[in-house]
Parts: sequence; C-alpha cells; structure tokens
Amino acid sequence: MSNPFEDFHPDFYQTKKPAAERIQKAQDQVVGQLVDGYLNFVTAEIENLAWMVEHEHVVSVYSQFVESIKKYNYTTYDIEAFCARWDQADVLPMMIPGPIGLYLSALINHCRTAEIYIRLKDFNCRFHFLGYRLPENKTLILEGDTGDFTGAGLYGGSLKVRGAVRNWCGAGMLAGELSVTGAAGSQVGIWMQSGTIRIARKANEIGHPRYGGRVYVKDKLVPINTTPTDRQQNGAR
Amino acid sequence: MTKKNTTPFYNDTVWQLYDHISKDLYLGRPDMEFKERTCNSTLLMSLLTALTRGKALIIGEPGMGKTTTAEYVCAFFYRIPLETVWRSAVAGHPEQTEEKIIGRPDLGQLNRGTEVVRWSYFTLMPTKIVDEINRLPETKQSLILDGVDRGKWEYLNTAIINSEFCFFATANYADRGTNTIVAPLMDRFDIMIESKHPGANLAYRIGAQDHNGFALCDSDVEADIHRIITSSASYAQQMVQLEDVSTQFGKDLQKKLGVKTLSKQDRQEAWAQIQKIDFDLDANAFLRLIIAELSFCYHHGQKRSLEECDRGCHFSGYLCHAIKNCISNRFAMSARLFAQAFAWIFGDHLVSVNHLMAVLPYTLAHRIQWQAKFIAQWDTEMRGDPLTIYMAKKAVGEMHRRYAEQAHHIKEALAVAYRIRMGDDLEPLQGDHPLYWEILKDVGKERWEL
Repeated sequence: MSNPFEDFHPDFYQTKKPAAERIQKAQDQVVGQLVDGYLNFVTAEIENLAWMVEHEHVVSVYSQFVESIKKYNYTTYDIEAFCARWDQADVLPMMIPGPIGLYLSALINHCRTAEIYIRLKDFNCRFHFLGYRLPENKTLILEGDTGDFTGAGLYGGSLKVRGAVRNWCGAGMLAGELSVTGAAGSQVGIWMQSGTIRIARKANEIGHPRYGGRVYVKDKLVPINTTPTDRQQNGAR
Repeated sequence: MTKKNTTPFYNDTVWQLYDHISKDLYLGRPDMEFKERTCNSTLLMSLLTALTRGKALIIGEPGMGKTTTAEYVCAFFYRIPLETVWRSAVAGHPEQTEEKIIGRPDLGQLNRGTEVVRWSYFTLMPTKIVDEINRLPETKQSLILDGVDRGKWEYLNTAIINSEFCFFATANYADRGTNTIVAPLMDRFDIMIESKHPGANLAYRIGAQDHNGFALCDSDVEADIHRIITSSASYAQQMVQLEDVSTQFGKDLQKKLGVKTLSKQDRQEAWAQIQKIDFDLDANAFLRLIIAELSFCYHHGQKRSLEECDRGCHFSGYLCHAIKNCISNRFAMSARLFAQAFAWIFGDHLVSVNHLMAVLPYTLAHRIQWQAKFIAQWDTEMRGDPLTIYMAKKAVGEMHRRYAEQAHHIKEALAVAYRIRMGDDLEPLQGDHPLYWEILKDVGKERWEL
C-alpha cells in the first residue's frame, strides 16, 4: 500500500522539531562541548591531584579553564545541565571533585548572564570552589548545600547560598558579599582581605588569619582578631 | 514541486470565450473576484466544466439562462453549431424513455433480422445537456448514471464509450412537477452553480439589443454533422469526421465573430496542462482537513447517513456534527480537478488554498446533506446565494479558519506521519481536529481516549 503522506516527503516538507526537542538538542551540543573541554584538561592533569591545596596551582588551573571556555557560547541553563551531567558521571576524571568547581566557577564568571541561579539540591554530590573569583556585578545564587572553598577569592560579586557551606568559605576573599542561610564549616573567611561574609546560622570556626572585611555570624559581627579558640562564642558546639 | 510549463497555455483563449459570452450572450452580474479580476461564477464554472470534461448542475428559477449558458459554452468549446447542441439535449420529463435518451434499434435493419443500435445525438455528441433533469422520475434518472459517470452507454448488447465529453444538467427549484435528484446522480455532478437573476438593469437590456447568438447557428454544418451522426460509420470514425467539420466551423466563427476557439488538440493539451498542476502543501493539507471533517465520526468510525450523531460528542463543534452524510470520494476528485482548472485559467502553476477556496463551495453545495437545525439556523441569514451554496460557502469559511489556526501543526503532523509510515520510530502529533484522528488510523495507532 502506498504511503498516503507521500506529498509530505522530507524533500517537499522539512519537519521542524518541536521547540523543546530543538532546545534540548542545542543544549546537549553545548554541554557536550563543555564536558569535552573539561575532560581534556583533567585527563592531562590527573596525576597532579595534589594541586587543590596549593594556592598557586589553583590560580593556574583556573586561568587555564578561563582560556579554554572562551570559545564556548553557553548560557546559565547549560551550566546547570553541566552540573547534572557531572552529578551522574561514571568516568573517573568526572568524579574528581576539586577541579570541577573551578571549572564551574570559570563558566559562571564568564557567562553573559548577570544573575545565575543553580539548584544544587537536585544533585547528590557536593561542589567545591563554587563562586571562586566571582567578579563584580555578578550574582550567584546557589540553592542547596555547597562544598569546600565556597566563595574563595570572591572578587566583588554577590554570592548567596541558600543552604550550608563547608570549610574555607570565603577564603582569600577580596571584595563582594557572601551570604549563607545555613551553617558554615571551619576556617570561615580565612585570608580574606575585604568584603562581607554573613552566616545566618552557626559557623564551626572563623578562619585565622584574616586581613580585612567583615564576618557576621547570626547577624553578629565577628571581630577580625577572632582566633580558633573563639569558636564556642560563634555558636559552634 | 513547482513546475514551469513551457508549452503554450490556452487560458487566454478561454478568457476570450468568457469575455465574448459574458458581453453578448449571457448577461450576469460578476459575483466572484480573484487576482483582481471579477467574473460571473456561473459562466466561469461552466467554462471550467467544459474544460475539465466535467459535470455541472445549473440550478435557478425558470428563464434565468441556465440552459442558454450550457448551450453557448458547449457550442463554443466544442465548435458545434447551436442546432446540433439543441438536437443533442435531452428534455427532462416523466415520459422520457431509454430509446429517446440513449439509443434505439435500427428498425430497417431489425426488419431484415439484424440488430443494430442507432445511438442518439445525446449519446454520441461530446456536449451533453439534460434540461430540467429533476423532471425525470427517479427511476429514469438511473438510466444515465453510468453514462454521466464514465461516458459509457449501453443499449441491447452494444456499448460505446465517449472519449471526451462534458455534461450539463439544469434544474428548476422544486415545484409540483419536479422530483428529487437521486443521491448517486447528484454526487456525480462535479459542481452545482446557480444561474442568478442579472438584476433589473441588465435584465432590461436582454432582448432590447441585438445579440449575435445566431452566429452560432449554421444549418449547413448542422446538416453535415447530422449526416455523420446518422451514418453507419463506427463511433471512432464519426468522431474523426466530426472534428473535421468542427475545425471548419471554428474557422467560420473566428471569421464571423473574431473569437478564437480551441481545436480538439488544443483542448487535449489544455487538459494535460491542467492535470499537471500540483497542489502546494497548504492546499494539500487544507483539502485533507476538509475531507476529514466531512467524513469523520468519532463514535461510528465514519459518517453514515443512517446513523445519528452523538449529542455529547467531543467533535460537536466540527462540521461532521452538522451534516448527515459522508462526503464521497468524488468530491475530492472534483475539488482537485476544478482547483487545478481554476489555477490554470488564472495562469498559475500551483494550486493554492485560495484557488481551492474559490471552487470548493460549488463542489460541496450539492453533496452535503445538512442537519435540520443547521438549515434552520442559517436559512434566516442575509445572503445572495441559494441556501445550499450559501451553507457550503459558510462551511468552507469555517474550515479555512480552523486550518489557518493550525496550518503549521497539521503539516507537521502529516510530515511526521510520512516518516512513521516509512518506519521511523516517532509518535504521531496530536491535535484537536478529526484529521489528527485520521492520521492516527493511517499510521496504525489506536485512537486515543478523550
């Protein structure tokens, strides 16, 4: 039996995929590029897993990430999709938690959108280094708990965490504002030079040394000379 | 899909015929406009009927020029003198017999023991007119069903098949002497048009001025044709001889009236050109939508004139709810052919939705049996057409609105259906129109629950 729809052969009529399908395909393409870019880097660097604790190496890796993502045209949705991809990853380079946060921060800091929202509570894993070097005029809203070094080296941007943060949040912060609606781990604001950190609930430990800026825990300003021994005063048990 | 035709179009010749007839012979108000040209639908559709070897039912009050239109169009189009056209016309009345309409035994030959059929003018001539067809009783209307449909005429053990013919029937509005035209015969008409009153001012001029209709009469040619038709030559030979005579008559007409007419070869070329005109995808999808809406029934699988439409049906907003019968396959054929001819005459190489819109009311009007409540609802509205044509125009307008609202989605659904039929693993597109249900059936999916 002949095809009664022969007149609508693709030669005569090109079907336009439904909008959702088109957007999904385009996004998959972009996210694929982002994943490839990240894997290329991490695969080469995999033996240097000790880099996380070395400040200079962090800066160097971040700079390389920034260079590598310049060619990509992505949106805030692609960043979120990238997070989801990472969350479900089953290849080893994708499971290394450190560099991914720096890569995400590079993506966030160079995304055209001024205000970026990421719903972290949908993911099983913790992201570190989120908000790293967040620049001025950029707002990052993180819905859910984050990992270590949240807002490290904050560079004038506004980072709002609707959840808890782990250790070293706001470490080496230069300017801007970091607010956390939940609790914070240890070394809050360590090496910070300027800006404001607000922890709505308890902070395990305020970082020391700090060179400037203000840290509020439960709306109370924590003096700059606060040492680890003051942690009981800041609500830690 | 667009085809540029390099052979000459004969549409100019047909327009010349139109202009000549409308100026001198059939005075009617223009009632349709297309591509900035106004024209009289009755005359234009009659010409398209002759052009497409179609069948037209011309309705109207007595004395409105129904038969005259058909006669002039036939005479000009087939280059046949009016006397022959008159001889080949059949008058509809209760006493008509098969012998008068189709053929009779040759009595001289019969006396000698040989059975030879003497075919009637009506059977042999390519121009067939049945005047006042609704005065034929229903039983006698069946005599011409096959002939009207396929040009196949049978008498005794002999049959002839017309190679080229057009058929016109006229009908007055119902009175004591008329009968219902049976549905099978009605469905065989490609179009139904009304020959309207031309208005007081044009009507005043009819008869007050000389017209050159008599230039179409030629007793010598008529005698020649009579000799051919009554000769013992075969039907094929008769048609060849007829064409020779017609060619000469065509030249005489051009000399006398300055009107060019089409030879048999011209008509065949025009016919071939018309058939090659494709539908654009919108026209294609729109016609599918119309067929779906006029044949679909959610509860019964398809429309059937003996089955009642369910009151609580989800599709009660569509025309399937407003009609009783299922639209026939002949409708699609008529709509296609007349839309192609309409595009051709306007010099277009592709049938668009606009071409379809122009011809659809005339191809639909006589084929739809409306539910009484819709007749009552629309009968009281102001209109310039008889109710059947007016309702068909309304229906086409409504369906066009629905198509315009979802044209893209419908084309997508049809394109996806193509891919499904070719084996792609896709889901058919959904939508709120019977056409989507028809697509589901054709791609082998069960219909959905509402």
